[in-house]
Amino acid sequence: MEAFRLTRQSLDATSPQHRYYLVRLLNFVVASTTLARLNHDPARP
Amino acid sequence: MIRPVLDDALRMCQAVLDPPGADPWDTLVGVGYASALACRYELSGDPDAATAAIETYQRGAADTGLSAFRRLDAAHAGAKLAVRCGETGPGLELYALAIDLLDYAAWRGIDRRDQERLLARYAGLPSDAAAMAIAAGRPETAAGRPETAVECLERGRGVLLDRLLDDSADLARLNEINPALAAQFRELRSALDGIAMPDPEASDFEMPLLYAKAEADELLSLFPTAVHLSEAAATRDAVLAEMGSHCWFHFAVHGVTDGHTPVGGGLQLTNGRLTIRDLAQRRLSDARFAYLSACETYQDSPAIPVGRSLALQLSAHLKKWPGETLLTGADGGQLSPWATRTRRTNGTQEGEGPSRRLPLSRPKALFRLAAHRSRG
Repeated sequence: MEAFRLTRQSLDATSPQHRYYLVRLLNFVVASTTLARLNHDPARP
Repeated sequence: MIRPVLDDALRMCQAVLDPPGADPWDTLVGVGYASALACRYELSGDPDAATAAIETYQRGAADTGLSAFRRLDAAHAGAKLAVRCGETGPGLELYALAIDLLDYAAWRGIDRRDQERLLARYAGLPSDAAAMAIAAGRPETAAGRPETAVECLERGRGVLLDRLLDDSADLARLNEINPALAAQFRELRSALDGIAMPDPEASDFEMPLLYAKAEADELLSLFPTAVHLSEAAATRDAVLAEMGSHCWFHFAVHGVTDGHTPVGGGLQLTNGRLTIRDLAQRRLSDARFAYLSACETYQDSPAIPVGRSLALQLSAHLKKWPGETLLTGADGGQLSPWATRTRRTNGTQEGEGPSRRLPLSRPKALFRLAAHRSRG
């Protein structure tokens, strides 16, 4: 959860025009996906 | 809680990727986007999410601006998702691409152990691809043929060994042009091979092969002119020397698979191991048939079993597909009387031994038989 929060915070602080935006977006997407899987993994009811 | 988390990520990706740019980072974000879509499909069963994810994985895997291993990851993930969704067409394409990319991802420039580590991560890929090719069951297309399945299987597993064979061929050419340089190269390679990491799981502990002598005696009664090497005479050098001048081989020995250094696996002889590397470096141009009465010669593992090594070797000379060129560890019940007895007695444990029957309808065309596997 903390990783997810930090990646979101980092993304929000970055302008879409900034060269690091895509990197931070990718971090956020990976963190979101991981969190979603952890919270509701259909393989582990 | 779950949906908003993914929805935010997906919405932001869509904003960036509509339309996708030429920057490799756009493709990387696209692969991340595909992963999030796949996650949403898993959580909600939304088929649109799965379709979009597969398409995005396809774009990522096809982007030559990305490094080979990232494309490989995308192709593999997309293929696995396509399997789960029953999308056999895209799934087969992605699996085929992933197998092609295996060779690039584990390229010659990186350390061999790194190559092996990378390939071990994708150990299940060739068999999954083969299963998909069979399950697709579309005989009107190349993708649905069993031959395609075998090709997927052998190409994926043979990447390392195929490279080794290529190296040997290159060295043979160098030897013709500059023998001194070739000798220097061999020396250097031998030194490097010497520092190969031992496999802690591999054991040279040998249980006695109680019936190997009886097996050999029976073979000699059938083939009285055959060269027989056993006990002190069965040294690595002697066996290799004889292999260079014979076309049929029969081994009744212990087999070893090395999970850490795959080309270090092989057959245990009197003074050491006849390794896959040894075999790959020889040009067994007359070899036609090999019977491996030994365990671990054709098992499924990230490592290369010695049976598969020999199959690839023979195929390199016969210009045929490996599965058609070598019989290994087969149930000899229909091959000859000695093989029947071999099956019953040569295993070191009860029940260990070849597991399939040999469909020997054309005994004069042994080399064309598909390879059979042992479960030892």
